Amino acid sequence: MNRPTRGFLLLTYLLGILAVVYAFAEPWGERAADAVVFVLLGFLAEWLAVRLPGGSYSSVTFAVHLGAMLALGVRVPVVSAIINAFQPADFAARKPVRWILFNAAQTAIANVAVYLAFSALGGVATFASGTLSVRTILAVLASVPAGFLVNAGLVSLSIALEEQTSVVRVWQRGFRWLVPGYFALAALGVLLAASYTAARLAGVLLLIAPLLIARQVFVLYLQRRTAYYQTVHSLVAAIEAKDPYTRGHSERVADYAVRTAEELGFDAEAVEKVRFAALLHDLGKIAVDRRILNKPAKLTDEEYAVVKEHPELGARILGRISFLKDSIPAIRAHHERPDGHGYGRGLGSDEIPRVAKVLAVADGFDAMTSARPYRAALSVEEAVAELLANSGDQFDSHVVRAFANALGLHGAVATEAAGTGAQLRLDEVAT
Amino acid sequence: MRSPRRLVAFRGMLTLTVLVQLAMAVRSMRPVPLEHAAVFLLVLVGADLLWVRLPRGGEITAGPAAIVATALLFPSSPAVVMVAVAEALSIGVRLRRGGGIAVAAPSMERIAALSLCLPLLELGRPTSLLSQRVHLLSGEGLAAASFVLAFCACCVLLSQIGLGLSRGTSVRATLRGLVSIVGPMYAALGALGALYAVVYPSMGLWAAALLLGVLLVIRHSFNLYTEVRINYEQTLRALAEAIEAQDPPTSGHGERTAELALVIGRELGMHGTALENLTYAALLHDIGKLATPGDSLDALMDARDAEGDVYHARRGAEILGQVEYLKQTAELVRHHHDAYLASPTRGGSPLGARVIAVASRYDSLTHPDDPSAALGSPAALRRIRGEAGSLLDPKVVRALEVVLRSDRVRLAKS
Repeated sequence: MNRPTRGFLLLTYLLGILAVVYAFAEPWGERAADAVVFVLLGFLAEWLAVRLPGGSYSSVTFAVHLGAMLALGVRVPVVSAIINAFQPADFAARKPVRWILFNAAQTAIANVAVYLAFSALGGVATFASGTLSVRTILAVLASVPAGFLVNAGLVSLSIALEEQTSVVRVWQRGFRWLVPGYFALAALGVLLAASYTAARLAGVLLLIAPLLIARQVFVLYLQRRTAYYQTVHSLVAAIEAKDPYTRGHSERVADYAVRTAEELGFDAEAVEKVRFAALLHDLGKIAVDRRILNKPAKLTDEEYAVVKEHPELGARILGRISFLKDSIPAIRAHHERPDGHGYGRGLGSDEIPRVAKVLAVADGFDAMTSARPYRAALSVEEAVAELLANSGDQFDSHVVRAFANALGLHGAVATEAAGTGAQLRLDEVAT
Repeated sequence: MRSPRRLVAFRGMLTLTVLVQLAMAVRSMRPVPLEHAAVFLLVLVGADLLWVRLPRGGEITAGPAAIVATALLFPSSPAVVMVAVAEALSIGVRLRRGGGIAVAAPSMERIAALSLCLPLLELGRPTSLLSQRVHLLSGEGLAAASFVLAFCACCVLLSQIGLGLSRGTSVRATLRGLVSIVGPMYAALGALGALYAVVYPSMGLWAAALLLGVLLVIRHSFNLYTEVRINYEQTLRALAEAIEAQDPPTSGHGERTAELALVIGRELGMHGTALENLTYAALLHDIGKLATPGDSLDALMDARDAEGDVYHARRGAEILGQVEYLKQTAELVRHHHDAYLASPTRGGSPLGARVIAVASRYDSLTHPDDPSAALGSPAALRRIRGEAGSLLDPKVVRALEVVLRSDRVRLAKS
């Protein structure tokens, strides 16, 4: 554990203790049995959290805490936050105690932050007023960002410190797309408080069944999503395995393309699409005769014409996948060049989709750094120099820069040679 | 296809029930507070337009939740009339989206379910729920709870019967649909409706707005799930097509085998995940050919290794077996070339594998590499009958005959 992390943790613990002291100084609903039910409910919500692909977790705990705060006062969610940090799964995974305590502290702080914002905006909890006024509902919704900022902010800061990356990147990777979810959770929290106010615990119970269903469906979705990844990966690998020269090609192109797209500031969804477009960009090529692709000599015009059809063919085969609908033009255009000398439809620079330009750079880089029947592989430095030398005509210069940044090839960029002089074949990038 | 006459009769009976109940409700109509009635009409129509596609076809709306709330808060007759008016409005909207008069069917099912179950609620109804708190553990509460349960069950039953009749699936398959995702979904809607009724007196329209939020979240996860399922299948099909593109004469073999295997599987009573695995395995059953090196593909294709497996079947199983989700699919691919007689206990290989063996055999006879050698359906069937009991499972062959005789297989027949 590095020093900044240690300092950060100590600060969080301290704030956490302050939050607890503050929460217990505030008035509450004084119904111990109901408070216990809310705390149990909170534990259940946390226990049933769903693991998301990014590694974070999704749960309705925030809603339960909000509901408990409105129904019984801030003391209940703070207690629940601390108890929740001690999850059986965490112990089973031998999560370090300092991170368990960190979770306890940060959720307690987030709850108090919401409560402070809520009170400042004139909201009154139902245990005090007996009813949920419009003003209270609006105050709850308006104080959601406070909780979210504290929660997501502290967590991304801790991850950034631990992994020594930038907070912004962690935030983009894991949290940005959670924002709409928080408001939905807030609505759920208000509903929970309203059900409790109208029918006490019976009302709360009515809300649990629909939530469990939603969770179940979401879990099914995530399972299928994982299956989707694995299936595409292993089938593409199987297709490529036939040919020693392309083995792993799509996988590597996908890796380069994803990192470049992230560097270019694509959002998570767009990055996903880039990943699959890259994995499948050469699908049309398996329909091309192996003998042509692996021919050690120069291709005849007819053979080259066949090779040049592969982007179109791939686009046609993949055209029926609705998820890839937006990526089809990119797959069709991944051999176009900004100077118009590429192949496909002979598009000009502004007609080529941006994703296609990313694919072209990733594809070109991997082609250059892989061996071919007729030449040895270029070194990484040589390949980057080649990309730079050809940026503007063969490759989009903006994308090439992003690519070099994303792959940490600054050193190679600095040597910016005017090309290696290695004569690349015209159809190089095709194979 | 089973006679659609049954469907017409079923829908006719539903409509009749609805009309009779509606007439009775109008006759005994009592005045209700107009502002509440207006709010509920809005909620009823809105909920009905909030629909999600279900993963295995069909759709579900939040309508039942709004109906439950209306029934709990208003006296019976006005409730029926209000629901009927709202359903008429939403039928209007649906008609504009297209789909013909059949779009009215779900509405009829819901109104019928409501009028059939309302007597349960009458067993213990407080004078006016709008001004009175519901205590769920009192007699009234129990009457309300049993009404909600009965209404949901009735809705599911009627909609599944309608769906089953229109698709021509068996009663068994229809009833199985109940325990799948539809049943829990209706239970959730019932609970949300009851919740709305409980919260409405103190919160009014705000409760609707908040519930809408919850419903949208549920709907969102449903849509995500349905989308990823559809994409998954489309992607597998595209990959199967790409694999076949290498070898033009076989193109479409996977797709046709999958279609035929699906109907045979259904005929044999397979359902749910088993049917899904069957489709995937049939689509990709020859994927192992990819792994046979070089151009001597045809020579290796039917070569058997020491274990007696056909090489490409084993390789295919290895490729698919890497995907956790396709483990069972991989097993079907592994055994799709097993001779029926050769397996240690007859039919020792999974049923799905035996179905693929038959479907794939039929397709390779009717669509061989050399088009001039193609057999017509009767000739192919004769040949397959000759192989039943030795290479192919007689039970599956009989199922093939049944589906070929009915018009369930258009593509494979042509």
